Amino acid sequence: MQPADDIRQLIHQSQITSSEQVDRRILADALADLENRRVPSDARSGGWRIVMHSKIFRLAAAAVIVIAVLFGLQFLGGSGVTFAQAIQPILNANTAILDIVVGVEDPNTPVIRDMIVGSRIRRTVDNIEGSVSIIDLESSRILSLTEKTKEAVYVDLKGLPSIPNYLDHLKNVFIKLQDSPHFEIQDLGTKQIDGSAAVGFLAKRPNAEITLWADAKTGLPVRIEHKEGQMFVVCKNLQFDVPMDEALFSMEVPEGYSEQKMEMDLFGSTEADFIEGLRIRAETFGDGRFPDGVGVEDFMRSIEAMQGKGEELGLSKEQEAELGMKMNRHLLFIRFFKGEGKWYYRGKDVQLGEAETPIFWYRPKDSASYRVIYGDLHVEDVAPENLPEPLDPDDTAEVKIGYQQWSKPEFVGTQEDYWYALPDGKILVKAYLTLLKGPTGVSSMPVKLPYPEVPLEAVLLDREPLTFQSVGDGLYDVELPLDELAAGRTKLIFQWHVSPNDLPGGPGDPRTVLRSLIPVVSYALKVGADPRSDFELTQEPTGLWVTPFTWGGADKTGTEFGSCGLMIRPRQ
Amino acid sequence: MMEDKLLVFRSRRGSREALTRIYEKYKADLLLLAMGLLNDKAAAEDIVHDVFLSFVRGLDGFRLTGSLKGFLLTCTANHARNWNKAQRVRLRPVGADGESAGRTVAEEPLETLACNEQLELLSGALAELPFEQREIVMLHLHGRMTFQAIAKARQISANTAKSRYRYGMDRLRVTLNSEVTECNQQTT
Repeated sequence: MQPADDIRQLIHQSQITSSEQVDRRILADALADLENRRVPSDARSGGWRIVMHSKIFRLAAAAVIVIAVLFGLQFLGGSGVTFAQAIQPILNANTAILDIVVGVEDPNTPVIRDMIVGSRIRRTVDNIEGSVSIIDLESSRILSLTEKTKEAVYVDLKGLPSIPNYLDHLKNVFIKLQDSPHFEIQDLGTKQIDGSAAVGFLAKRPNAEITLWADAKTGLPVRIEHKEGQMFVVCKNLQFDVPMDEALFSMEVPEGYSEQKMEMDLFGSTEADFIEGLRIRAETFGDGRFPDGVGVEDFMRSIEAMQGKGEELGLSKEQEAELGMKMNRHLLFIRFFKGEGKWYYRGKDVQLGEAETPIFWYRPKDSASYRVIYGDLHVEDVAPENLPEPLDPDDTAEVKIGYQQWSKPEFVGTQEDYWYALPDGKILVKAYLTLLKGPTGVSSMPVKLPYPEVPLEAVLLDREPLTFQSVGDGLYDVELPLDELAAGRTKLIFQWHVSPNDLPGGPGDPRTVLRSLIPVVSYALKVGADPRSDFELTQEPTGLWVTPFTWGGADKTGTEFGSCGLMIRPRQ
Repeated sequence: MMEDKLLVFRSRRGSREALTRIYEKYKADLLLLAMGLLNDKAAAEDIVHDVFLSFVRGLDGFRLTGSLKGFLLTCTANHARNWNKAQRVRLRPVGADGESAGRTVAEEPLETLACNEQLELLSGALAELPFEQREIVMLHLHGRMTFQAIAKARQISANTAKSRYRYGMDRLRVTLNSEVTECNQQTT
């Protein structure tokens, strides 16, 4: 070892410890001085001047605002005016101007102003002075401009599907609302909005609702309310087909502006990101206390105060960017909440470090237990019966919509077929058909089996046989008990047998055509084999079954899905 | 680094918890530096006390641009240097009134800092060096500060800092020659 290393090691091994008495003396004097120089925090918070100078906070906030209120992102997946008439101006429009409010409408809630042309939105927010964002949904990019400081920032959004035309996208949302078997549309009657009579329509499905209010005389939409999860957004002051200068939507950085780049992954936020944001909000922006709320609207209300405090930190650009991104990821966890049911926040007035106080809980997808975050930010898995509070009455992770009758002529449902190779050499097929919608007042449902020569043997509703009759090759009419369907008993079982010899590919490599009994929005084929049968599965099953085919998730319906192998072979 | 910025920010806003956290986080480093520079437990305690009070009093205008630890270590070194100068003055012959300028017995604090054997050895050896060399050796080896950062804080050139370090290390090696080896053999 070199002598320098010896000295280094000696220093490294040197230790000094202070007694409680020393600590008390030093700290008492330092804290007393701190107390004497303490200035009320309000006197230090900034106003517009500070807002203007804290660019990363403003940009991070603006980016979140942008993604917070893109309508229909999750949907990719009685008066003289009808719903169809009310949405017509939207469907016909080429441009639009509207005001957006996230959360409760009151004077303290910031208003977002949108101008929309094609895939581009020009957005301003009234508590972020002097800043404008141009959002290009086709390239998933935001250009944020600050006039006063001549700064331009590009924010590339990861995870956002390309939307070539936002108005077309909106139109599709409304068309889907009208046509989708997943949605239920209710007539809300008439109410006064801004001094005029308006008629309302509510379109809803589990965890999502859109209410459209249209002028009762003109039929023009005047207000749209959108509830998605626990976020509530209102669109008002709607104007359509207003001429607008294309230059307002340019994605080019204006001359004389400095340019920066950021990236934001919309769907990549984790529980750890959310917790880190809670820590920052308490430590940095809350003087040790957690915020009053963690919803998007709470965040928007607090942007101004956060920006002011952010300026006081005196961070470097890199640190500002890091903090801004952390806040983004924190908010994205709530904005694109992936848990089951609702989240619960009880952190208001709780001090960071209160290890016994639960401040947030939620149930992750497919989890039987809840994740509970405490005031010291540790997390525990808790059974539903041990939660700090009972769940809200409307908190149901999966709300089933019963069978609905609509004006269209066809029945629509979802279907799962189970094919099971039996010891007698045949294959038993059970098709589970869940009905979603059917024509008003019609109880006779036509179905078509995939193989005309194979006879339908039984149709059951909750194990009760239903009557059916053959009306052609593979065609049957099934008599439906409409009252039972409306009560929520919507799963029908259709049963028949096939012989492997009759299937394409024969018993050596059996295949099947993929065809649903009625138009469906999802279809799956599952295959199993009795151990005493002549067949074995070619893949490791999940439980009893392998799944050679699935389709669905979209709002469009289908009946023909091609063909596929059954994933069984003669037993080796 | 980020945590320190937040702690400073919260301290500036009057958070007792944040200031306490800063003290707890860095007290051992500062005390060790002060002890290494002054070889005097009572003085080390006073220095750290004064550093924290100065830190609190300067919070309003304080902007952390580097590391908080580096800043506090530099403050400690500065205070220690001042103390060292004052001590030299106090150790001169007594004044006309016959009263010593040094600490009186009544002011002497209780033995409230505990140093291990290695620190006693180190501070004893460092005491043999001129203060300027002690300071650079400790800031570089204990504070892990670069010569450039030390030079900037001391308003000297980096080369001067390096040469003081080199001279200091040479003398330390001589002083510690056998003792260090013996001590390390005992502890390994």
